[in-house]
Amino acid sequence: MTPIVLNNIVKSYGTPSKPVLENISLTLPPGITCLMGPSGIGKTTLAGIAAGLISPDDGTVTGREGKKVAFLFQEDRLLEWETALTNVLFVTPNAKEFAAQAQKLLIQAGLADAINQKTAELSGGMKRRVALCRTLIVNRDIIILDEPFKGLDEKIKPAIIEIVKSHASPENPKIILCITHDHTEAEALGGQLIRM
Amino acid sequence: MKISSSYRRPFVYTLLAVLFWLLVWEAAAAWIGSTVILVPPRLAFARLFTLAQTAGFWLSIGTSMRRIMLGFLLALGAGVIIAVGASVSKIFKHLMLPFINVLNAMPLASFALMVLFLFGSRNLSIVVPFIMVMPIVFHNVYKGITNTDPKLLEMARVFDVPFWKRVYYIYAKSIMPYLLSAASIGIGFAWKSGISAELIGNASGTIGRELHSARNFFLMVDLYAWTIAIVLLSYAIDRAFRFIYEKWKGHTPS
Repeated sequence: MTPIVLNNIVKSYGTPSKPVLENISLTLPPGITCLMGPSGIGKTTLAGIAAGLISPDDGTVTGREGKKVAFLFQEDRLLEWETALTNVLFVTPNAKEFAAQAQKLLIQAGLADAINQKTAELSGGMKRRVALCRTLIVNRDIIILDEPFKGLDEKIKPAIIEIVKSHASPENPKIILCITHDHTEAEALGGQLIRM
Repeated sequence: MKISSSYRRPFVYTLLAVLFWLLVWEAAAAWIGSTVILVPPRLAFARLFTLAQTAGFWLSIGTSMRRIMLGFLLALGAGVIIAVGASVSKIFKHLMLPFINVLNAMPLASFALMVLFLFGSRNLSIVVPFIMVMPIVFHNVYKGITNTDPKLLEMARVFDVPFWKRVYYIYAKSIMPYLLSAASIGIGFAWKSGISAELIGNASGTIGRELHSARNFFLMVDLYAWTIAIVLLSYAIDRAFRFIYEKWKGHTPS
């Protein structure tokens, strides 16, 4: 799989325009890349540009052609009135075909008891895990995870890190970009580490 | 099952308030002393009771209800379709807005007379409620569509979720409270405007015709009895709609 290459990316917001990204270049090879940096530095914007959700003001993105994206947003963006299982199946092309896989994934994420619970009734950490399962259920070439471990219990974190790592196996190469604030999380995930 | 006193209290208060105003009405009628000017409630209710034992009473109610409900349901459908069209196409929205605003501002009487010549008295109580309710539905549903969470829509777009699934899981959830609120307001409008249209058009076999006859022949007791029947029916329909709305709300935590 060809890597995604971002070249001299420039992005500004607001009036008068305030630069968020100035001549940023990076390469995202297959496997895990962790993007670290303080709040407000433009990590989410850069991830949005890599995924093709945000257009840069200047610079180029190559290697994204024909690749499909899965995105774990900073907010969970769940259908709060639906069950955890329905939320995961919402993004699949065929609910019947993916039902067993979705349940398996939710169980792996420690959500066995919450499968048929409405997400509005779940805790913040549980919602985050449902959103992560939704991102990982579909077989995509690029997976962007914007703070996937936000609000997670320390006990459950290793299991979730393992789930993410299992999606970066050499047999099934994917480009995974993970935004995190935590150095230990980045180390546990392995792969490339970029500081902004 | 034991009903708690706090649950019973509002009903008791309503009942007491209704009794109070019936007494005021009875006293005012006794003071005026003329059933042509003000019919006492006991005579109006007694007449309603007599009317309710005739087939004609129920036939008139059935005919009016059927036509008004048809107009109301058509308004719901058209309002939703136009709102969807307006949210998809700006040209369509700008084309429809003046038309809907004119319908909104038009007095019922002048509109009913125009429709009378166009569609005849039979269809008046379908067309008039339709025209009265459709703009309410349009505005509410359009608001529901534009208030749909853009973040959820972006999420669905990223994952290539098909359009029908977005409509079913995201748009419908956003629109339903607005649609049900429009329906709840619109049902009262449909009922009142429909009967007024029947009265203007003197449509045979309808509640409007009964009111028309009562006025023409100075059957004031009949006029009051029919008015009470209309109020009770309107209340029943409103309660039914609220019940559906509350039931729907109960199933979907916000």
